[in-house]
Amino acid sequence: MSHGEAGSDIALMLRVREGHEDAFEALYRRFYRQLQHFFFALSRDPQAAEDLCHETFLRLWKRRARYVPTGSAGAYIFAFARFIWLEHCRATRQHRLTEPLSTAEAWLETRPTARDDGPDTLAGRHEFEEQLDAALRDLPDEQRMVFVMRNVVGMGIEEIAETLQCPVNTVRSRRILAIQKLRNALRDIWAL
Amino acid sequence: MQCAMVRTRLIDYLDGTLLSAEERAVRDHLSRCYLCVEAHEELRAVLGAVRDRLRMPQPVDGFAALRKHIRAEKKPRPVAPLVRKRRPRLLARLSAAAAIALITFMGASTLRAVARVAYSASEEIVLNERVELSRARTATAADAFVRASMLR
Repeated sequence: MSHGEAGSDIALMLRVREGHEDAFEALYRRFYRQLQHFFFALSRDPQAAEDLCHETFLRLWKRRARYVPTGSAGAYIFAFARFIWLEHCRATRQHRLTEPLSTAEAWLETRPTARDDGPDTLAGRHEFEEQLDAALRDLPDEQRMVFVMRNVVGMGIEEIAETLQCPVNTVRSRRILAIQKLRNALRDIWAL
Repeated sequence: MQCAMVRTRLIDYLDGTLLSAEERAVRDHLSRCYLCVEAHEELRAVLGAVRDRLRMPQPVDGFAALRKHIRAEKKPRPVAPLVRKRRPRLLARLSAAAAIALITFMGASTLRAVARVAYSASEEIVLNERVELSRARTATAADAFVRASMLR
């Protein structure tokens, strides 16, 4: 995210704090895709991702008066999102990726595939998805969170550090560890 | 730069977060080391595939539903009318004065009665104490007289 965008996000947040609905809409349009990617990567459930994104924005609106422009607006929004994810995990007792396989399979069926995908390709993709889920499930929570924020959502390292309230070097090391583990876990399937 | 050093920097190289000198060194190394190129390509492919599979297939714009929630919250609460009721001032003042006079009169007479009762009660207690004391003294003197006469 560029400095200009970050600055305008803060300006938007300040207008949201004053109760401007148009600013809130602009903020929503700017962040809803990222938030849905974030929740989907963690939950692997499109409906849950949509609901959690909705809940994040609703909470953001209700607590708008508490906003203080100390850092980037993205970090502020993702700190909310992370809190809501943890709350969701507590409510559903889902500390990790514990989605039943049937849901993942049903979702796999709905994913768009190329017309020339043969059975081998589909089987290979299916296996890759399963391996990926298993690899993500095995990652410690904080490494998975950093990996998702950086590699799926596309947040900057500094922004992630601000969101998680930890040093930049900690974010870097967590991410490197996560990638190494994922690469090792996916190496066999990738070589197929 | 050696292969081991390049491998540790590949993630940051892909991210574009290396310092310019380091980035140049990694690029130079990749131009002549096919093993590191393979590692670089593999890493890029794995990260790309993971990103594609972990992203929401079609993000849903749900602002309409959100707006409904917000507007429901924003509905203004019914406010009490700001019209003042006219009160009969003279009647209010008279009744207040009467109430104060009544309380003062009642208070004074009640206090007087209570003080009277308390005073008489205390008088009686003091009198009783005196009687008891004199009785005790008489008994002690009689007792002493009897003992003295017996000793004689």
